[in-house]
Amino acid sequence: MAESDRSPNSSNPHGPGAGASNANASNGAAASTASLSVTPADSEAELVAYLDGELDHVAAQRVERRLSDDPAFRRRLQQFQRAWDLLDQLPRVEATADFATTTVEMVAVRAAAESDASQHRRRRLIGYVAQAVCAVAAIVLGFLFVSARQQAPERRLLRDLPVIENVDNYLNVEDVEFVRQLARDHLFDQEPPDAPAWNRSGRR
Amino acid sequence: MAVTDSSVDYEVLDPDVRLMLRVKEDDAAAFTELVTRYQNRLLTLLANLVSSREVAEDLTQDVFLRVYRSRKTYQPDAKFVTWLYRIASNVASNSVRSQVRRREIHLAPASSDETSPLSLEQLAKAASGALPTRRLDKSELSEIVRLAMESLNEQQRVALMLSKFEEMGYQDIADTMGVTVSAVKSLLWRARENLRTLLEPYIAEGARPTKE
Repeated sequence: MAESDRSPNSSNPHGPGAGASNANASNGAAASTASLSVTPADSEAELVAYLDGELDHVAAQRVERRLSDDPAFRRRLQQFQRAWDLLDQLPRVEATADFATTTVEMVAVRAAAESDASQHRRRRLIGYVAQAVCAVAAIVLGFLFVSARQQAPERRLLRDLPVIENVDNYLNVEDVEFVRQLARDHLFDQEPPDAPAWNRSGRR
Repeated sequence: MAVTDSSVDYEVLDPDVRLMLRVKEDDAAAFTELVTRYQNRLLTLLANLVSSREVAEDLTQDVFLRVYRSRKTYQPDAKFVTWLYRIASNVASNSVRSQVRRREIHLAPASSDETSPLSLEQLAKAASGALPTRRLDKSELSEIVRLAMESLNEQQRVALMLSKFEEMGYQDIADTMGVTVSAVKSLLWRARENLRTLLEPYIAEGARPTKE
């Protein structure tokens, strides 16, 4: 494929190689007007980009000026072009008649197998998660049960605290029903704080 | 760095993007159409990257399998060919790396027969003018060009193949390879400079170096 047949994404209005074909051989070529800041490697990279139609207008003109003035530069362009043309010797491969069919079938089979494997993995993962949740729940319930069992004696003690505080008095009681009758008669009620001393506990 | 232009509506501009969007909806006919459109191009690219038609066929099918697997997450933020060749480039790269590892383990001795394939070393000697030459036929020239391509590193080869066979511009090559345009310019210059150097004895004369 000739370079000039390409229409790449280029802003070079001259087209690739146009400068080379217009270049005039000159005896005692004048010095190139290329920028002094462009290294030889940059110049050659620009030459390749020029062949590829990738240079902007200013850079393309710079290359063309040098091509017109520098025979060695022109030879280099021709060598690049010929080496590029030799790439046409590389084989262009054509698929067999059934390649598309076998490809699509292969993809369908592999995709289905991967989908099955993925679903299997998802089910297994759900199973693992369920087992983990059950294990955690069992641990928590077990902890709560054991904790409740361990605290039961303390709670009973707390509930019986009023009795415990007066256990010395209750030990002297022979008849529980008699004590209950006294309670119904409000004999155990708290006395007001400003009651006269003779009316307090002693009941003299 | 790869550049995608989110302001460009590739769905409108690129018919292959529209096909891929149908594949995204599990349209088997659209997928078959994409395979048919790109099989030869991918085979050519991959065969010249890995130097084996059989391997290239496997890799091409691998590329299409990856296209299909990615269908649900496909986004039309670049040309379809750019996205496709990005996948192809990765597949080729993985294959080349594993080939290099295998070659390091199994080195074959060089043959001294004149009819046996040229080695890269002989190609380099010919380029230096150290070997006498004779005229070449087409298959020999093809072999020499293939050998010269093997002298390039993987990135140079990919850039060159995309430029030559796919006629991609520098920006598209940059998007495909995930590098800058400046890097593409450098890669192509180095690739073509290496080729120019190695193929120089054959450029004008079509000659093949005789083995010493």
